[in-house]
Amino acid sequence: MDKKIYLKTVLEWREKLYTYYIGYEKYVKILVKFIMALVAFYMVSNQLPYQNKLEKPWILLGLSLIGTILPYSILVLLVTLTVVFQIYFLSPVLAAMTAVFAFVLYLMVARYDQKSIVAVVFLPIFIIWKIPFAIALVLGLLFGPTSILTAACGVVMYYILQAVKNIQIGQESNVTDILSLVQLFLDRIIKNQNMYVMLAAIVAVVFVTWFIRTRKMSYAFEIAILAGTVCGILMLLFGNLVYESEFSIMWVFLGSLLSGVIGYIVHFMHMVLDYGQTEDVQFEDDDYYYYVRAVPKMKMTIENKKIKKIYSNKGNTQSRRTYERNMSNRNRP
Amino acid sequence: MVLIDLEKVRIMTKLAVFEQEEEEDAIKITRYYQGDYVRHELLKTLVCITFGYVCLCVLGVLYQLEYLIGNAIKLDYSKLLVELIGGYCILLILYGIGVSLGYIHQYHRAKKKIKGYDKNLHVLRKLYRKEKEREK
Repeated sequence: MDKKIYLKTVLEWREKLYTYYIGYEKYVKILVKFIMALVAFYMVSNQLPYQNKLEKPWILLGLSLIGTILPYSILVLLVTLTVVFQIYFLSPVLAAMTAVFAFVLYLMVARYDQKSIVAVVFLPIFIIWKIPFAIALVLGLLFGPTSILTAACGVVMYYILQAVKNIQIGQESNVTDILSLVQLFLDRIIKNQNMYVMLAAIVAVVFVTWFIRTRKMSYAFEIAILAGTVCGILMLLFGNLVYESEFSIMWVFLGSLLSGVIGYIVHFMHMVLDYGQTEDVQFEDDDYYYYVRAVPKMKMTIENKKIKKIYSNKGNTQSRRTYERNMSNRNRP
Repeated sequence: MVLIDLEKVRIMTKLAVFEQEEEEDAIKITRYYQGDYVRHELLKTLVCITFGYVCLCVLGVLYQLEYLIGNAIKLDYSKLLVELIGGYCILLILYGIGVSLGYIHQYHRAKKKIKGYDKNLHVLRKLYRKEKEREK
């Protein structure tokens, strides 16, 4: 009985969300994109504070507004250019190296999945927030296996930026200084055990989540979220043990659990929003020009059972009373 | 007075919705034959891999520059060249196979999506023919 009430409440909430979303879909999408762009640019200026001008609120808002109207792939390009621009004020050499790395990653890896390319920007942000598997779970739940490529790019970009932040910048007056800086920077990336462990963990989480949720079984999504979270925890712990990577045990567990919760919320919302794809289309024929709004119908998963009581005899009150008494006894808690 | 044909509007709406959603994907892909589409994407991939490999080689040279300068006379350049070209060829082959399989799969998925769209186009064409016959 409790389970039915809980399910009914969940479905009522889902239907309310759907109703609100249908009415304000366009504005919600614009707002979400604006918030994503704002978060991305804010994190860039916060993590790489080498140019004060880019930290000003009106510049952040302006960049976010520009990011809102652009496609996601161009937003990612804009964020990457902002990162390179920030690093330029620390060291032009490092900015050039970062740009080359970003270029190579795009050419060889990220360009094969344009749909999930936002992960290249948001995975580093979620790693900073200690919940890296949230993005990995979302990629596994909502996208295909090629999202592994964009996830991998995101991890590598994070560690490139960490190498930039932690490097000691000396004078870049001659070629020797520049070469030693380049070698130090590349050393910090290539010999970083944490990067390889995190890369393996993220790839494994995305793959496991995608694989399980595409199986034809009950609760595939829920099992996929659980399996992905557990896989991520095990991979990071294994990395800590075998490769001596330096992940905090507390944050491995806490961050993974939070990621699992976020993954479940996204899955729930996706079930609502997937239905709510209102389409505004225009077309014409010989006689009219049509402006059409197509609103999809909500498909309920629970059937409304109606019990119809048929009494065989109008005059037979005895049998009717017995029947009604039996039914009322059955319905008592 | 011309009345709006509801059936025609329903079909045209479905076609317009599909075109809006799938313009970037299924419709664009199925404009090509499968072989042409896969070859086109393979060519783009090979160009990108070549640029990427050149950049990686430059980074590799910068990383090992001290060693290369110190052993400039002793280095076996022919062996180094073979290794570089061999690495490039292996990368091309791996990417070529992976990308070809991926885009063939993408083409088949796009073809399946387009089937419903083609069916609706066919029905719309029939409705237009009936209208013309009625007008005659």
